[in-house]
Amino acid sequence: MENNQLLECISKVSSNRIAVLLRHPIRAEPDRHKDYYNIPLAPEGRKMAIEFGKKLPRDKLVRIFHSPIPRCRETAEYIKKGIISSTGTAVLMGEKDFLSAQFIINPKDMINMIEKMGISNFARKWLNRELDKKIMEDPYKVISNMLNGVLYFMQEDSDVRHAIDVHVTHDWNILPIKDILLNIKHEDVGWPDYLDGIILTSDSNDKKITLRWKDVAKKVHWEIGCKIVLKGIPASPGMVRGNVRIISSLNDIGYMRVGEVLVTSETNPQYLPALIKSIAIITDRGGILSHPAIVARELGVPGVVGTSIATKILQTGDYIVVDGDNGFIFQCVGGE
Amino acid sequence: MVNNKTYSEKIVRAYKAVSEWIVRGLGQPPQWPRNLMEWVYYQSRFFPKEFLRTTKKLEKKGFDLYQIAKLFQYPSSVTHWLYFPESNFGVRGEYWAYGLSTQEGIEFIEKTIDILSILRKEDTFCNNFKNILLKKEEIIELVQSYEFIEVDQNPEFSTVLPMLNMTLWHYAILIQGGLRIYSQELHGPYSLDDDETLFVREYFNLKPTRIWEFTSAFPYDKIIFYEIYKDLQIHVDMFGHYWTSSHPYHKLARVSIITDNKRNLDIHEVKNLYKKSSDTLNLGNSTIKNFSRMDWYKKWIELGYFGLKPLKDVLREDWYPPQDILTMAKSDEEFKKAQESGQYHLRLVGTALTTLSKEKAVAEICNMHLKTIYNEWERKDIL
Repeated sequence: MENNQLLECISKVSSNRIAVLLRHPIRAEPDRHKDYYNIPLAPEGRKMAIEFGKKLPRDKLVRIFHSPIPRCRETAEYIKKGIISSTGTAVLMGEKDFLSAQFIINPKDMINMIEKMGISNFARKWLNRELDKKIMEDPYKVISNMLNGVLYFMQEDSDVRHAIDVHVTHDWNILPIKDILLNIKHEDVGWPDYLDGIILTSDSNDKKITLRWKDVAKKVHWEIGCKIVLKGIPASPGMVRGNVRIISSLNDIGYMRVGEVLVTSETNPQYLPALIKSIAIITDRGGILSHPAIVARELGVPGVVGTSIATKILQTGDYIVVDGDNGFIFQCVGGE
Repeated sequence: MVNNKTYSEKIVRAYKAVSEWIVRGLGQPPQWPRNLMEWVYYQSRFFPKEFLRTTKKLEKKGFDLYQIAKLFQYPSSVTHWLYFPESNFGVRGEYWAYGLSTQEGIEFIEKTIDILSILRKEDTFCNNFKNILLKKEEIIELVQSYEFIEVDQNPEFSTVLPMLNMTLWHYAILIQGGLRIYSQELHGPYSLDDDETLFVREYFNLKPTRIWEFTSAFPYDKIIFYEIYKDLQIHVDMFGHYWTSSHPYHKLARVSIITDNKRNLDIHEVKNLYKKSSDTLNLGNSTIKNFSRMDWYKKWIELGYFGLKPLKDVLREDWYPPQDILTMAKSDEEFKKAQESGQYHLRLVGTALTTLSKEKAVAEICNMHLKTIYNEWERKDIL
């Protein structure tokens, strides 16, 4: 989201708790292959950050978190300057590892591959999980780490009302959330711009978190939401997306297809043919040591148990993302 | 009147461990094939009494508790016996261990703890999340004498083994009426050199044909997986649950699979075993398809007695339950009591879990066990 659009969207959100994942502003030109880590903001980028801070709502406390990488710390500091200069209230919350450049495992190979195949193709391969994990971290893992961190601070303190959490991070951290959770492809809408971002809002009534993004490039006012519809006990790590298959009785087992997410109240030996076809397991009942939790870990698929209401909230055919590291179930919906 | 008599320290320690486990496991007993509390109720109607009767007979023949413990071999199922007092949580008037005096009930619990201590080399409740059944010397001998297959050179193992293991796991659940640990023991982790860890999965009693006719189609009575992992942390608790620092089969370095009559199964034999296991599991699933609660209760009684078979074999007694015990499965009165016991349990334990802090819930649940075992609900809370 272009930063003016982002600011407009922030000001319109009625929720008391907002979190913004924000790409840092324009940085200096990188010295090829050298010290990518320490590239500072360009003078223009500093101005952009100050202006961004000035335009944030003044009636809310702004808490600013940032990646440990210097340009993100700079961004945080300049945003704070902007807020203070416009009589707003801001506090620097410091660097957080979940906002870091966690996506790069081997920077040298990453740069070489980008030069060979182009950034868009490289990103596509990464997002489709076709890259060697010795070069780039699993994009699902990146999402999981990011959301876990952001949501932790968003939900941690019920006394901090009317707050905006700004998380300054990198394009490669924003990219997989857009692509995998929100189904917005960079090939369609372009690369995440400087000070581009995603907004998460928390509805205190139903404890649901919504991710929003507006497609500015196409000048169409539509929103894609990806809601955390359920929270359970994270029982087996990993993140996948797929269609739900509710198994309420033995009669349903025959309908289970390979690659679906099995959702049931509780598993039993009669469910084995369905379990081995599943890409993730979600149950109403059970704890970390329960049968479905053990099965998920044994099969190496993400598992979320003890949701209480998964079989009531979800329906066969729903398209969801299962985050087995944090116990979140996202349901993605979109429309004009 | 408050009774200030002291409890056995051994029993207090045991029930602190059990209560901590209940709180950690969120107190959600499995519901398949019926609520686990119904199983607990039916077992408590005959098992403690039959166990004491049988062990006393063995003792008269000169067996000590060490020898008796060795007949059971596997501790995880024995740990389950500590649940039996829950059958009568708060249901006053009847003692939890049917047909036994309070003193005998305490004796049953103490013997259970002693057996666990013997089988687990004194780490009775797996406090370090290890279930250690083998001595160091046994491990060294095992690793040196068995042939192990290198998974790197036989990559198919890492895809077939999880499926085979899952199938055996479910097979164990099915033939033991929901309680797999009566046919499965997970033990270890045993540290080897070079960040390697040995973990053992044993499946046993896989052909209880007198209880389940379909199990005659299963190829083996016992299967053991000796698995050597590299850079994997493995945790096992006292009830035979295990969890690892990452997906185990990605870290599997070597494996040796042993069956009744064959050592070191190769990939073709493993695939064949997987197929036969799946086929037999399907047969089993067809058998239980229309099972009523009474059918399950009967199976639970048979399986409870089957658990004492190693002792009965020594005594040359038929292990099969007598008719008067089997008829319990059809009794509406017993069913009513089982339901009532489950409701009390839910009310008491469920309330503790949902309204108290973790520490207080552990104390409350532990106190409930102790008061039930000692049959004195007026006794002072000790935790």
